[in-house]
Amino acid sequence: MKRMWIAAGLLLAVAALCVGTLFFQLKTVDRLEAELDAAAHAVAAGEADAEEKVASFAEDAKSAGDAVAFMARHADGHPLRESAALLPTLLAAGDRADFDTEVARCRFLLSELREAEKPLFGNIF
Amino acid sequence: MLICAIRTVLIYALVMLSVRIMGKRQLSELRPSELVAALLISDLAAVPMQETGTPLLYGIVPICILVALELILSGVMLKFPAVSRLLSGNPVPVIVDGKPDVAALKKLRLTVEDLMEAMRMQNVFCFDEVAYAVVERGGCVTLYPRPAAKPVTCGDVGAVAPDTGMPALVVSDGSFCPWGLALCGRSEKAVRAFLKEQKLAVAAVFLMTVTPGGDVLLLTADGKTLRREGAL
Repeated sequence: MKRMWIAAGLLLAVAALCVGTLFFQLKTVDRLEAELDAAAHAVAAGEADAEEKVASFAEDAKSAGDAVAFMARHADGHPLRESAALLPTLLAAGDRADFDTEVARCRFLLSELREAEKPLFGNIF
Repeated sequence: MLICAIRTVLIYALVMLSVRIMGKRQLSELRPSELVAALLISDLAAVPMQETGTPLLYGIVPICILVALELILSGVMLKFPAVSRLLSGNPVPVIVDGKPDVAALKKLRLTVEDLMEAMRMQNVFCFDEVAYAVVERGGCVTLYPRPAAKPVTCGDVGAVAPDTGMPALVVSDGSFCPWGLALCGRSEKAVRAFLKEQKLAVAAVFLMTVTPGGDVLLLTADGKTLRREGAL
């Protein structure tokens, strides 16, 4: 009987961990998307703190990637960090076309990260 | 490389804990569900050890789920014997009253060579000595010898053997064995007092067994043997 309780406890702990990590990842992606949108808007509007917002997004993307590495494959978070790291440099170089391309790429990678851990039919099979 | 080494230690500890939680059944003859769990756990443990790009949780979570499922399934099989029969099958007699059941052997895909090998592993070399042979659910073969092939017992010759009870290991390599003390009904204090009488320290004892009747067998670390009847 004791082992049944251990089994139930293990399943509950695993379920809580799985749900918790999923929510954490989704919340992190939401936050990064909001930051990216704010940074891109600031750059488009020519705001004074655009550079700061872009640098902040790059930094947050790096630390979020480190946190997400606990619960997702490292290869899933690495492209986003790489792409986000380029943004401040592209902005400083004044290359708007490349900057916009990287922003679009970041948005795509964030949406991929959002879908990657959902228990969807395609992901399971 | 260091990451790989640390992960190996962590996963090893987790697998050891998993096997311990699953219990002694897992270590003895494996039924199908136990074999599946053992194979999967070993495979799952290997991946995060080597793949440092994979989170450790990708190994820990599946192992925990397998352990939990195995515990639940074994509980269900205990409560509902029909489930146990469905998943593990039934023991199958392959020799009945000295005659091999060819149909049963074919159904189990066992050859005569397999059967003879199983018999030899139990020190039976002649087919005539076996009255019954059963293939158990875990796949091993158990034998019931013919009366003429059985070893002679005291009961056969009408002798009365002294019943001293099972010797229990009370000291092993300098340390007390609580389960052995409980089995023979002796306390650590009593054993220490006995050893003091023999002018021996516990650390100097390699092996000490005591029967419920108090018979002692003691081997010291330096090779001396001591036997005392009814001493404890």
